[in-house]
Amino acid sequence: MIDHILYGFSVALTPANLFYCLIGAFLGTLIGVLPGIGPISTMSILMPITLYIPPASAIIMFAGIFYGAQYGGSTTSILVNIPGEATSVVTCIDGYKMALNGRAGPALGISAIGSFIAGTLTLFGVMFLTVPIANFALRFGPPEYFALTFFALTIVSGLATESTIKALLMAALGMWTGSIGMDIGSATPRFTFGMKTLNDGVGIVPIMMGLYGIGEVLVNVEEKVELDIFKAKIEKIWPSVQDWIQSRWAILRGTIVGFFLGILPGGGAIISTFASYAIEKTISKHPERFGHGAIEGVAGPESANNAGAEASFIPMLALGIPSNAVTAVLIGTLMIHGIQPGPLLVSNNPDIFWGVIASMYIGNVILVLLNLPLIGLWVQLLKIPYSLLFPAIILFCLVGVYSVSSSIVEIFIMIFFGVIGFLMRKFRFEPAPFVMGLVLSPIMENGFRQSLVLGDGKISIFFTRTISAFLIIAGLSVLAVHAILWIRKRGK
Amino acid sequence: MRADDRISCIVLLILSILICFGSTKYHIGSFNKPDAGTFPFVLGIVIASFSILILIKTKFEKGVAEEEQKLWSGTPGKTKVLYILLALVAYGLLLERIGYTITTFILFLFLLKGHKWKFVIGWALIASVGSYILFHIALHVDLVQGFLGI
Repeated sequence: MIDHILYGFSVALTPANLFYCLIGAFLGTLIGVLPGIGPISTMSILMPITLYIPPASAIIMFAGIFYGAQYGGSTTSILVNIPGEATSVVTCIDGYKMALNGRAGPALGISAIGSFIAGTLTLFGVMFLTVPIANFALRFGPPEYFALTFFALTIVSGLATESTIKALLMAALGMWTGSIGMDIGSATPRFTFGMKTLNDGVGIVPIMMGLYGIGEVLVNVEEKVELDIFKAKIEKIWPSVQDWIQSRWAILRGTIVGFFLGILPGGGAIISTFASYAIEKTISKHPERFGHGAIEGVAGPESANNAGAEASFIPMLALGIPSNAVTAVLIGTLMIHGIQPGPLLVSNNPDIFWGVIASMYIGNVILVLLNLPLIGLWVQLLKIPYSLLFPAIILFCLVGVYSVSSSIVEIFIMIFFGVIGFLMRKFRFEPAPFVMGLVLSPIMENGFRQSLVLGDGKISIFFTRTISAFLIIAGLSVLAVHAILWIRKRGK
Repeated sequence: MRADDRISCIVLLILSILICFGSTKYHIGSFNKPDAGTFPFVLGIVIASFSILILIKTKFEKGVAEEEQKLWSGTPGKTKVLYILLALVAYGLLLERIGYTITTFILFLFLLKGHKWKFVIGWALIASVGSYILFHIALHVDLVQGFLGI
């Protein structure tokens, strides 16, 4: 293990990868601070540009963007009462109140330091769990892969904020979109409408840029969100001794909650922040302080979101299964570099695997150093009007999508999915399950078809193999629980 | 029943029927030997089932205030969205004809509408030339060169 970590550091500490880690951490904090653009749209926009850099560097940079956004998102939550990211929603509750009470500095400070501690501790979990899980997954056959993707999709849909059925519907639609193109088994082009460009399928790049880049721009322009920025001077960023005493266990509890929920498919980082806040409020001796500037209400959730973000790398690296839309983009990035994510990633591409893990240590240090001294800069950035920001976002999307294959068709596909992304949000459908379905579609279909061939057409093959049966029953149980909860709610 | 759910589910139901119908052209095969049309056909049925479930579910839900059901924040917002989409489509049509830099310049003139014209022209120039230098020269990204070679 030590040898592997040292090898990882030898990859992560090259000047080039240090540079990409710094860029990722900086960009991540930047887009975490700016409402209207998130890590998914940023990664989608940068995905084509990563074709010009080694895959390890690309993943290191994207990982930096992901956990950097968790750090940056808290800044707007605390100063503007608008979460920069979905994972910073809960921070608004007590963080903004702390700012109004003249304690914006300690709120920002404990948020950054809690995130750093949580991120560092979580990495031990990532290091020690990923390889055993990957080794276990080498025993998987087609039925297990089908069952695993089924389980992942039911969990993602079950944790949807809007509606489980809508999320499942989006997942199915995403899977259908993923099936467009040449069928590997029979070499039949499916749903290509005679367009040769679609023979290789609808590219993940124009879809991601459309859904998350253009789609979000259209929604933000249509809804015209205005920011009311906290104006008092921010002083004393370093938390006091009293702040530390109040926060230390919240940081540790948040780390544990974030870690275990982050491993689960389905936006673990978001759910973990709510869970952490609920736990802190429940066990506090003075729960009446929550909602009025309780520092534990910032420390716990901010630690949880960073731990959740990093823990979500475990299923991605070990199994090749995304646990959320961000890791789905990371998998997409590996695929456009010709790398097959999955249990063999550890042995086939150790530079990527161990390099990314080592870079997370470095990234956490960079982020604490970036976030605390540069708070003044981030506050200034919040003042950029969105009317100036969105043309730049659109330009990055256009350049990015065109650079993949120099095809105008890709631009029109992106615009189409931009409209789809806009309509999804207006009609209260979530894009994340769609993206999960898109990425998992080939794994699920191959698993399904090969399993039926192996089992002579009998569905029972999925239930006669232990791991497969367990995962399918677990997935069905999740759906059953949601159905029961809905019926009970309606009964009231 | 929410009007937005009704509209979206009817559209998705129609789409699912088209998916199922389209899948039959690729041979659905059998359980022993699934073919190219099997997976999309199953997905079509799944999408149809969930769409119908949502329609039934929303029928039993309490009525929602009209204000909460509003899809659009107002006519100016809708107009701006259509405007941006038209600008993007025009960009796609013109890009390979007149080249990256000029097309980007024109795009920014449209997207920055509403600001002072000197500011708009200045930023459009910076964005088009600056991005050309950044992407094409610094990052070696292939950008379309028009009749002026830029």
